[in-house]
Amino acid sequence: MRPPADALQPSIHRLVDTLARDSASRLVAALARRLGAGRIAVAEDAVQHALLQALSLWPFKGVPDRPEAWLATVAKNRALDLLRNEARGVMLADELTPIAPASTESTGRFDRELNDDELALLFAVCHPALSPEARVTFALKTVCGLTVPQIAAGLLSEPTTIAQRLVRARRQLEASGVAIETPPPDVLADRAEAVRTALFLMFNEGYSASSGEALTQPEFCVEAVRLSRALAVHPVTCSPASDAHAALLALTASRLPTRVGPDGVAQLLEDQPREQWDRGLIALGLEHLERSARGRVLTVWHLRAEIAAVHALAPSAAETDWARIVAVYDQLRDIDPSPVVELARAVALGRAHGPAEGLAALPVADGNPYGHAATAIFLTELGRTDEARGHFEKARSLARTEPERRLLERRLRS
Amino acid sequence: MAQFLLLLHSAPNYAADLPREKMMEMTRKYIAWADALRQKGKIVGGEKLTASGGRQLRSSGGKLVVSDGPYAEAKDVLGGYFIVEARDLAEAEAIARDCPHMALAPSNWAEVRPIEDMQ
Repeated sequence: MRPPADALQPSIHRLVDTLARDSASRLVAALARRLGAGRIAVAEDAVQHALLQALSLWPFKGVPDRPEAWLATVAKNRALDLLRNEARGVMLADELTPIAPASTESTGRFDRELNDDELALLFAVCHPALSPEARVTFALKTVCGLTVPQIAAGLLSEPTTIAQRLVRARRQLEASGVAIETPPPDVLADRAEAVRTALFLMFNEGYSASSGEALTQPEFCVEAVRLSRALAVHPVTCSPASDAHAALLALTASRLPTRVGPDGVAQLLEDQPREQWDRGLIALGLEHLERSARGRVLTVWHLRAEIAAVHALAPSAAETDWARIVAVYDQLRDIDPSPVVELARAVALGRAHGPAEGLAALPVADGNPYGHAATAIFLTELGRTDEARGHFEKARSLARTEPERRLLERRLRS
Repeated sequence: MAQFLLLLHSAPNYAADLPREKMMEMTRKYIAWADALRQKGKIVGGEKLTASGGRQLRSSGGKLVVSDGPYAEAKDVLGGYFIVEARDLAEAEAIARDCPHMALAPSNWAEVRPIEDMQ
């Protein structure tokens, strides 16, 4: 007899998913911080062991009341066992005792306390001994909990390249025996940018998944916003750039509730019911944006945050200050040119000055679903529906997630 | 209703090399399987056994011979058991078929044994 799909299952699915993604990386972070970056492998083995214990015991015993705390204890004991075989084992046993289990309690969506473990580990893994790409890649894997294919999508790279880079990074860190500690202020600036980049990519994966059934994975966004805010308020890491970064993430996250409609179809910015945007996050983002203006530096985070703020404050797509958005993209293009910026700028230009100008400014869409979709929309607005169709079809075949594919399907049918 | 012993055999540490995602997927399935049965009152009891660290006692020529075992290096050990409630052997077998233990490793296997009734 097959067990019926009862109400119990969804909650178990959520629980185990959350544990796999959040706790696993959090537990590794907490352990690695105590053990040193050279022992990240020990921390990972210990957490793997804890997950294995969960797999073999929970079906018999049921899920413990505080699963994360259970996993933390089992992982800690395993780490002790592994280290007892080494000379330093006994000494570390004392150091390890105070590890508190990762708290599952959250007082609200974005107002959890700063988790020093994760922030410290982020800075530690963004070590200058590693190449800039390796820092971000390693941080995304070790601290942010992204998978290799997700990292590859975020960094516009190949999974095999990412996997090799990770292996090399691990070896390098272990060979140099890097200690995990919040770096002193004088070296901080060098590392903070890699941390912000990693958090931005982690956020992006949550905001616009690189593949799969769901367009968004809000847990990634929640985590990235939380860490970005921690960065912005931490006495050592606070800076105008960190505030701008926190503003960008909070303002963008405010639109999460409307990214996908109730029918499971992705919604374009202009079709989203703006009254459902998260006002609390908008307020929070604007606060950080204001604080970000206290210095004289203008970073990519300032520019991106400004664009997000213009959208957040506009009563509708039609009433958006598109000319200002184009102007900010022009600046962004100067400091940080990329095909993504070029595409977004062209879309804004089309909204500011009409589809003909937008179309002319679009980069060649080759292989990019968003490029084809933008081309198709401008062509449609120009009455060139036959040409538009080809681009809609191309975009549909390239769509990365199911809700986006459904949206293009709908546009093709209309 | 009758009771059956569901014996789960496996190689020790057979799951140690599973990737994290796969492991969590299997955990989810396994817990869902057990909890659904529990909710229906089909599970009377069950325990996970350690893969090693036990004792084996045998008689040899009128003398008791005690040895350590099973060892973690063993190919096949009794990893755990459930006592399940079922109408008949067919239902008990169906429960065992659905048990994610079977899908966890090719060498995993299960045994369903009716528990003798006093009447």
